[in-house]
Amino acid sequence: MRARRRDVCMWIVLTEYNAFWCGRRVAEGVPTGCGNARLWGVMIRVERLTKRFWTERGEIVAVDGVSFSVHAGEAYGLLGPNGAGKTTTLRMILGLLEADDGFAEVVGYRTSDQPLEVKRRIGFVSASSGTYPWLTPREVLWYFADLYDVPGAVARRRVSELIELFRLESFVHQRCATLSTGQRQRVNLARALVHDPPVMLLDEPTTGLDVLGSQVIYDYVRHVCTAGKAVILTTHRLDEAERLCTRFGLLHQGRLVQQGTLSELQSATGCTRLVDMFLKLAEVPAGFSFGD
Amino acid sequence: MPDTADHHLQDVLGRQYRLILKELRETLRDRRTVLTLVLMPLLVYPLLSLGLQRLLLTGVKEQEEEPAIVMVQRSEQDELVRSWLERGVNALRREGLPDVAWRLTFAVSDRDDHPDAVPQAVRTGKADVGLAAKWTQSDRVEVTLYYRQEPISLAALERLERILHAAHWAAVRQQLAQARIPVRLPALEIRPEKLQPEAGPSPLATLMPLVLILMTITGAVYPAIDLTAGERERGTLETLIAAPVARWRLLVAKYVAVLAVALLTASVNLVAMTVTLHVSGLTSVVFGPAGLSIAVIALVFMLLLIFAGFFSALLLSITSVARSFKEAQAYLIPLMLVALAPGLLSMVPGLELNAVLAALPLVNIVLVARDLFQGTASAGWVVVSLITTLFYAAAALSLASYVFGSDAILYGSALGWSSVGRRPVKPLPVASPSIAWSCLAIAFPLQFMAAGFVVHAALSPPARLLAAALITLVVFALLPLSISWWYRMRLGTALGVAPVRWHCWAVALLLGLSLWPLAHGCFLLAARAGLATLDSATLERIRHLLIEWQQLPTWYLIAALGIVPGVCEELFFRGLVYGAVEKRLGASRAILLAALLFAAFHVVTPQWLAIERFAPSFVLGLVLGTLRWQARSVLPAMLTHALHNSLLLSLTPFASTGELIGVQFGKIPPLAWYWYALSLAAFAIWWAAWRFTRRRHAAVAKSQ
Repeated sequence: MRARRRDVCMWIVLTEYNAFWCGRRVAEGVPTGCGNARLWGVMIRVERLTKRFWTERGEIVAVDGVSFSVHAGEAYGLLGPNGAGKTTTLRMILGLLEADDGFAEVVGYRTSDQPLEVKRRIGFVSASSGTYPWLTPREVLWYFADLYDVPGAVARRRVSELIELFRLESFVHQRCATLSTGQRQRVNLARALVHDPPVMLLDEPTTGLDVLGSQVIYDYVRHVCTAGKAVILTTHRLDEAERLCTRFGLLHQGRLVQQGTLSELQSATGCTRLVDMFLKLAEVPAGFSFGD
Repeated sequence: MPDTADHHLQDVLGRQYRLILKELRETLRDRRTVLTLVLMPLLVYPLLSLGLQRLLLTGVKEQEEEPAIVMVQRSEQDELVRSWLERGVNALRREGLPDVAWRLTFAVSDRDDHPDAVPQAVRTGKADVGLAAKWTQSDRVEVTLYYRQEPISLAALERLERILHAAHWAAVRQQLAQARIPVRLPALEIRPEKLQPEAGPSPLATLMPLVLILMTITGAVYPAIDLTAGERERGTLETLIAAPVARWRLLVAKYVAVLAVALLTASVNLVAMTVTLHVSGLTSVVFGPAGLSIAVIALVFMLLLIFAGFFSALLLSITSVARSFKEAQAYLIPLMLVALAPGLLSMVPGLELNAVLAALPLVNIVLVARDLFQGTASAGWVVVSLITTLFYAAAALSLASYVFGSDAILYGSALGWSSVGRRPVKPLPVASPSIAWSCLAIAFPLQFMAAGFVVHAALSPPARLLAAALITLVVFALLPLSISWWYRMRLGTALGVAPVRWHCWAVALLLGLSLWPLAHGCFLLAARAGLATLDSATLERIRHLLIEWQQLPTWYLIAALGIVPGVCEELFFRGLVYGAVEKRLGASRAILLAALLFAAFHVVTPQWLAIERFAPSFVLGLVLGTLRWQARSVLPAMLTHALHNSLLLSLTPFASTGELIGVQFGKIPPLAWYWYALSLAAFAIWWAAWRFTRRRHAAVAKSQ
């Protein structure tokens, strides 16, 4: 019970930091709100984002004019089969890949113009993220605090908060090489929050995790949304998305074919489940499903 | 403001220190690093020294202890030969030469019927020298000596010859005495005087560079791969690139870690080698009779630092390209082989450093190392090699930070290499520091080598000047222009080619006409401070140059040496270099850096190290940099530079050569005081004009 209360307190602290970012955004004159009653306005704005790759077989359009926006406190599910362009979209928002057309804005900063400012405001977790085998979780947290320019005193407090929050105490002095997959994933999740970003990008975070590990992710996303952060989560597991996200964007062959809340999608497509919607929209023969 | 700037700098440095600490921690905790660091040298050197001992010491000992065997061809005159040899040995003994030196064992061949018996014994090593004597007439003896091209055989041969000569002269002396013939021979007294050998070039000194290369490579390879290609293999690269840190800062942290490990390995190697050599008594064999002094160890360590500094950057630039350990190893094997070639090159006798070799990476350091060990190094080449190496290391590092974490490496399997080396679609506002560094790294050796070719080529004076102007044009103008074109930079912002108002031109004109007394004063001060390296040979060369120039039309001189360098060098130093660092370092540091590089380019010439040019070039660079900052354009600086150069050159036809170069450089008379006053007055006008226009600008800005 006490631990639970402590967790809530932690999140209030983290929320306050987040309010700081958003307050700053308002001061910078970025339009907030999107006509609906959400607390803080648009955190991520993606407009006509396009990426082409050149291969031996010619040009491939991996992401084709994708536009959407995500508000504070919202978890946006970017869904699609493998190769639909989910990860490429995330990488363009983060500035790891250069967009060929269109742009992405994070808290009012354009990725193409101010890449460092954008990176400063994003927490990024990917299924393929590794840890440094020879460093301890505490050292990893400190290293990322330094990478994200977190001032010393703030970093000290934040690191101990995150260690408590993610229950890393029992192995905080162990080298990461000796940790289990689940423990490593917790370290990675904590690492992404060390600079208290207003925006989180989670790229297939449950891949390779068991039921318990996945549960940690679910709790994490819920907590993060409660703290007023905007979250984009990519996955090809539609059941998982239904549990986690408030709005969805369905990507197919680089195109955003449909987006909205579950009820909006249901009325637009006439299907009740995401899986059916996807099959219908993508016109995939019946009997085929994404993921399991 | 400066307080916060200092604070900011302190913050950045502290953070950079912690980034370095992380890389070091990661590397040194890895047991595989420790293995190569400590265990390898502990095992390798004792084993190596054992091998060396067997190879070297046994050979030396054999030579000293075992007497050489002289085989004498059996014949009828056996007795005669023996008495001859005995007489010779006795004569030498009487002269007081040490008997030990004449340790020879005489043996007589078994069979006299076979004429090839003695040579055969020498060939197979049964004997070291063979002797066959034949009395052809009563007064003529033909002696044939057989030997092999081996130290022991050669030594025995020399002794045997001396014995035979001694015997011969003893016989002559005896006959002269018996015949009582009055012969007037000049009194000849030969006194052998024993001298201590000097610590000259040691036989194995040429091998040292090779050992140094191997020593540094073994330590640096593993961490270099682990900290670059390893990041991608572990899946940490993407999160690292997603952090708001400039890639070059990550690379600098990695570089320092690799360098530290390389130096640590090298130090452990050095200690292990010294101890092993000392214990096994091989020190004098390897390092000559002087042994291994503190000075030599310091020298070795300094060279290791340079080697490691260069190699770590090179390794990082290669391993940054790799996407896995396996790939990195595949790339490094050719590098190792290439790196060994210059090591072997140092063993080529008679190969001397010249302009081309001094600009070749790795070859230059290896040759400098060899010369330092042999005590034949010249300061000029050492400095040139160090500077070029510094540029190459910086270029390798900037290449590494360009490639490390680029999308081709990050998502390589999907993209291949298509994005590396493709012209960027979006224009770049100004050159990044890494682009500027790469340009410098290309420009410095290019200019140096090209100028070296021109100096040594058989060209007529006008053709030489034309070639020099063309080199300047290519290196300092074409290079920045093509870089700007490639990155789609706008000339106005990137190179500072922007129109300016009339008063900027007026100031530029004023400064161009009045800077020369200042340059003269700087030169004088530098010369007084002992910063002039002009020896008589250099002075002679300058005199020749001036005589050559005097025969050319003045406009030609001014165009080739005044206007072209003035315009092109400004485009490069105050345009590209200054523009690349102005935002990052602030104007004053950017001016300082551009001036330092400008001066460095002027000091290093292919013929000599013109240190006396440093002070005037540096001060000129400061003035031109300030002008660039004030005018926000490079054009006025071009005018000033070209005018200043041309003014000095236009004096050439009028001055007698002796007067112009001041015959004895240490004693150049200072100019009359009013020239300096003129220069100072020009500076005062410049300052006042700047204050005035700035105030007016501020007023205009306020009213708006």
